[in-house]
Amino acid sequence: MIHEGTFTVEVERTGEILRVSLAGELDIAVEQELVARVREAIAETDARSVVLDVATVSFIDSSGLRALLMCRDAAQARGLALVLAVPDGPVRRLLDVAGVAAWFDYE
Amino acid sequence: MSVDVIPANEAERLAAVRRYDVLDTPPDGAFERITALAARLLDVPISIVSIVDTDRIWFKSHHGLDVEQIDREPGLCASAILQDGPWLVADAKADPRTLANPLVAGEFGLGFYAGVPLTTHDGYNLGTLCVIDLGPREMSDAQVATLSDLAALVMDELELRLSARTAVGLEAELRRSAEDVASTLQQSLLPPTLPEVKGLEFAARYHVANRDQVGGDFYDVIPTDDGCAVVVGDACGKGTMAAALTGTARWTLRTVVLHEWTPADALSRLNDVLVRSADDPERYVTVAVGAIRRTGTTTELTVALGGHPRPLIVRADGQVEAVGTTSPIVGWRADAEFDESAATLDPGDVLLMFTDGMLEAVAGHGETDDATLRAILRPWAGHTASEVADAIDAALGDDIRDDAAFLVVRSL
Repeated sequence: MIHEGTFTVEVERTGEILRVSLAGELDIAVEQELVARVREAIAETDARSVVLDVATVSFIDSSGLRALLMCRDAAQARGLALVLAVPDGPVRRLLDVAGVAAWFDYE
Repeated sequence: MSVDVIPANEAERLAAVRRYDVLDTPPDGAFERITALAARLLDVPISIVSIVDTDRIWFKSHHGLDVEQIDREPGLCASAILQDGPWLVADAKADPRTLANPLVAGEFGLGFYAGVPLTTHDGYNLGTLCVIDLGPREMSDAQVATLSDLAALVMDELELRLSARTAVGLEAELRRSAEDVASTLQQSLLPPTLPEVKGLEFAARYHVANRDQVGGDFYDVIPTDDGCAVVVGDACGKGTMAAALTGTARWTLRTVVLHEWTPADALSRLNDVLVRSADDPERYVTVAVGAIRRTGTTTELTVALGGHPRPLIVRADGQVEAVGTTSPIVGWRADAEFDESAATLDPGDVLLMFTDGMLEAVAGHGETDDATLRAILRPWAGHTASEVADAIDAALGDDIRDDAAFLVVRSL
């Protein structure tokens, strides 16, 4: 069986906030794309903070978690605060199991 | 067979005939249609796709003639393949090139022959597409052109089959070699057999999602002075990078438990090793490490979880409980701290350590809740480690999206 996931990244600027909305399956297939898009968005922005909205991420695996951690570190390296918008769901559950929930700030 | 019919490049030509692998293959629709078409378009009773072998001419398709092969005698196909273009014999019984051929001189009494060589892309004539009649006749230029076009169609079909066969062969070979590498590497990352440890019984299973890719899951059982260390982990990513990470994790943990150690220590040490290694800073493992110590008849378990799902204990009476306190993933941050918690394993109790790939395969895509797994385990309380492992295997389903590994430890 072939699993065909769809994944999208949307970047939107509102005032001082850069909102990056992710949707779909966040796994090894899209890991690099996500990190590249977020780094690019961060590099050229004068926003004060970045919101990573993962509310509509339907699946995340270990590579997806690594991508979130890399986004967080990339924002921190640029002196930007990165906050997660994450309701109860697969991302929240993985952050808990992986013991890294405390490494992020939340919206 | 006369030497007159042997082309200068005969050895290479025969190699080409072998390469196309068509000799003695069963009749087949594509060629049957072409000979039928040739006979109809050119208004002759007989049309043949012939392949010239060492000492025979074999017919891949023979429309209007109930013969499968003839000797390689000069005059007809055997001579046609010596040409660069069509070989035309308007009146075979009067033509010095053909009158001695057994098909012409003999009972069959062939009177007319027109053949176009089947020339490979690299210039070897494998055989012909030919048309035959009993009486003499003439062919117009347009008819010769038709025969040449049909011969080109035959050759296209042969080339197509060859490239399809080659592609399938190459693909199979590449896949086999990738699977070989993956499986060799995988074996080096897992213990070949589980050790004997007094008072304990083990079963472990490992399922890779793709056979041509090394999985990132791993498990280990390492005997210690007073019991053993049990490990189940998952290196992030896939393929050789994950394999290298798995190797580092496994051997670091094996080294740590050689001396006085606790599971939290082991995770701290592994965290240091991974954070400091510069080869790929953006990597981590999730791992559950347990220390099982036997004192007298009691078995004490201490477990530390680095970003890993909590192991389950199936009590002999059917109670299922999770054990361990979640600590962060291992290898990402230098300041990560690892907690540990303890439990007692009474005789008949089973400890199950597993990766999230196994949990997902049991509970469903994206699922991190262990309720389904608990329900599967409950009826197997009091059974052997292998029986519990078999029950989990049965629940995994056929479609494993991620690698899945687990280790069952039963206290005796």
